This record gives sequence, C-alpha cells and structure tokens, in this order.
Amino acid sequence: MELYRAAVDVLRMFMLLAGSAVIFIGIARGLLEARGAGGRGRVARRIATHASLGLEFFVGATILNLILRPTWAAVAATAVTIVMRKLITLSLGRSARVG
Amino acid sequence: MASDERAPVPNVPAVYLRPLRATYGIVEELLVVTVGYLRLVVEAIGAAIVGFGAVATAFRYVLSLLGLRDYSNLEIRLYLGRYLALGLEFQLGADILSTAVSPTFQEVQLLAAIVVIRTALNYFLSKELEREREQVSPEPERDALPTR
Repeated sequence: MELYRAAVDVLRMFMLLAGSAVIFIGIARGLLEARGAGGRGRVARRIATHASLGLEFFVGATILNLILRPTWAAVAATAVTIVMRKLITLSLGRSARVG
Repeated sequence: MASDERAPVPNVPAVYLRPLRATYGIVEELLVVTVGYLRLVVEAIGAAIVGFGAVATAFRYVLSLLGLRDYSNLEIRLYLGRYLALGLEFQLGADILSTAVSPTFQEVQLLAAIVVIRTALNYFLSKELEREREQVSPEPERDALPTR
C-alpha cells in the first residue's frame, strides 16, 4: 500500500515538474520570438498554448492528488485548476477566431 | 388487507437467530473488504493510465522541442487529454465502488464532491477533445510505418 502511494506521489511530482517546465519553456521561447512585426500576438499565442499544455499536466497532477489526499482542500485545488484551464482554453479559442 | 388478517409471525427462538446473525456479519465484512480491494485495483489502473499518459506526453513534447518530430502543442494536449479522460473513467468507477462501503455521512459528502469534480472534468475534457479533433487533421502519416 505504501509503495502504491509512493509511486502515485512520484507520478504526481513528475506531472507538476513537467507542467512547470512546459510553461517556463513557453515563456522563454515566446520572449525569444518577440522581435519583428506581429511579435506581441505571436508571443501571446506561444505562451498561451504552452500554458494550456502545462495546465493539462497540472490537471493530471490534481487527479492523482485526489487519490492520495481526498480532502476538501484537494477538491478545491482541483476545481480551481479546472476553471483556470477552461479560461485559458476559452481565451485561446477566442484569439484563434480573432486571428 | 386489514392488519389482523396478516399471517402470524412465528416466534423464532434466539438460539436459532444467533448463527444467522453471525453469518450475516461475516458476509458483510467479507463484502466490505472485497469492495475495498476492488476499488483499490480500479483506482490504481486509473492512476497508471494517467501516469503513463503523462510520461508518453512529456516524451512527445521533448521530441517536438528537439525538432525530431513535428507535433503541435494542440496535438500533444489532445494526446494527454485522451489519457486523462480514460484515467478519470476508472477513477469514477472507483468512486462508485467507494459509495458502497462509505459508512459516515461526512465521507459520502466528500465522495460526492469528488465525483462531481471528476465528472465535470471528464465532461470538459471530452467536449474539448471532440472540438479540437475536428481542428487537427487526421493522424498524420509520420506515425505510420513506411510501406513498400
């Protein structure tokens, strides 16, 4: 049982690290591509797509967190992550429509 | 039917009821333990699916970052979303099993909240997968093995 919980915790940490790394890489690449015409829009799209992917990893981490710690705090954290992810996805869809 | 017309309840002596009650207790305990293990197995399968999806997605992202494969972030997100949705289905199955053995109202309340969260997440994931699958072209030929 302890081994199972430890394995799930390792996976959760991996997902948090992967999500953070993806968001960081998105910001770094966005800043590097900021020069030139239309740079602002390009940077925004680059950061938003990476943030969206990073948040997907965070959602996975909160799912695993709910397994490990089924508490009200974990439920609230999951709800906040889902709302954030949904907002970013909506924002991405809107910016894609606007162009 | 009037109450006085009912069949009379036989007065069973306590000595006959005692083994029945003991058997019932054993069966109930066995059921609770079995459902507990079953829930654990289903939950572990869900966690394994989510974990495998995360590792595979990270691998795809690294390949894309190094320029070895040409996956867009949307494709990578879809890939992870598929695993998350499948893993969540197993988690929901485990939650359903948990409701069978939750003894207190507090636990049932927390379980209900978790079920709601997981269901909402699964709903959003499925909707997004459906919508974004229409945007992304069908599985590109780069994944296919070369044919002669």
